Amino acid sequence: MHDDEFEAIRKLIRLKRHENPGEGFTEDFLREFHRRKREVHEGQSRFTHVLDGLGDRFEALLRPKWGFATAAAAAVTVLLAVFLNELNKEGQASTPSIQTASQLKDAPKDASSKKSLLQNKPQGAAIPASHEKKARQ
Amino acid sequence: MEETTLRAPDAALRATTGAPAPDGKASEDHEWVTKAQNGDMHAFDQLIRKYTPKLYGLIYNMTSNREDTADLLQEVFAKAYRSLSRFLGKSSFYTWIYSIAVNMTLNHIKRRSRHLKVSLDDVDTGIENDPDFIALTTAKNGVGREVNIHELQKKLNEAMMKLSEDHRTVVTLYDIQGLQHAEISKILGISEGTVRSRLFYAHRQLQSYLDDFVK
Repeated sequence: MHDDEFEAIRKLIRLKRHENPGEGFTEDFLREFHRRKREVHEGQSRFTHVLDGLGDRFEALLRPKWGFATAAAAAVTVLLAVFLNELNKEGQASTPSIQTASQLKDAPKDASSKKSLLQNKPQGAAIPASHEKKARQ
Repeated sequence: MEETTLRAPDAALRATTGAPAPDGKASEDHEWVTKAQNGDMHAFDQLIRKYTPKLYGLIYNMTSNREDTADLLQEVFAKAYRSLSRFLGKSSFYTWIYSIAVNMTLNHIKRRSRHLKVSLDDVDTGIENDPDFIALTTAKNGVGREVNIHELQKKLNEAMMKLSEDHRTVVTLYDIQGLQHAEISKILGISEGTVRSRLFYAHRQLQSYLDDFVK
């Protein structure tokens, strides 16, 4: 290739430096750079804030004085749960259930209901003789 | 093959392209870098202001897409900002940031090679008064006729995009940005001989693509 041809190519290609993004690009670009940087920073700080919070809680639980307090609180909770459970059991033993009481009350008086029950039995069904006797009495 | 006979008038080229001088403003950069490393964001802003036009030109001429250029340039400065503490000053700041820009742009081109779209910037009015443009349209070895600027822009971009990424990079750095062979060699991490060789082959290819304009 001749030197003049080489030079002509260079001059031609060099004209590309006249292609540019226009005035004000650099300042707009700088503003965008800071906006993106802030965004990244905020995203990171939110994440690190959550991590720090979790870390602090775990750390606090492992610290000796807080560890003792945590253990004491856990022990009190367990004791309270056992006490309430016992109390509940006692209550259940002293007061009969509603269903049992009504059954006991109604049993002698409510012969008619038993009768009706017997009457509602499908026809032709065999009724034991002992049951019939009790019903007449 | 190494091309040794073709030497650029580097100083003259620097004057027209505004390429960074190797030692001239290096101390200014050093001061801003040191301040930025100590947390002075305004100092980093000064570096952004200084290098945005130059790096924009580099990325734009390698991608021929202004939207990609703006995005990539944001990523380049973000990476430079994150890595600034690791910059020890063994090379100049401009070599360092140019290397980041070239590597990120080449990665982008490789990733997007099948989906690259052209979106060109406007050509500024200065081209009509550019001595090279006037010489090109009037001289014997130029086109010697009225040239539609947009047609020329389109043709130049097509020719650039036909080059391989490596050839396009050296043409951008040397012909458009006016950097010296030694500087390009440092930025790309290749020998000066390789820079010259790539330029020679790139120019030969460009000549065949732009035949109408140079004969």
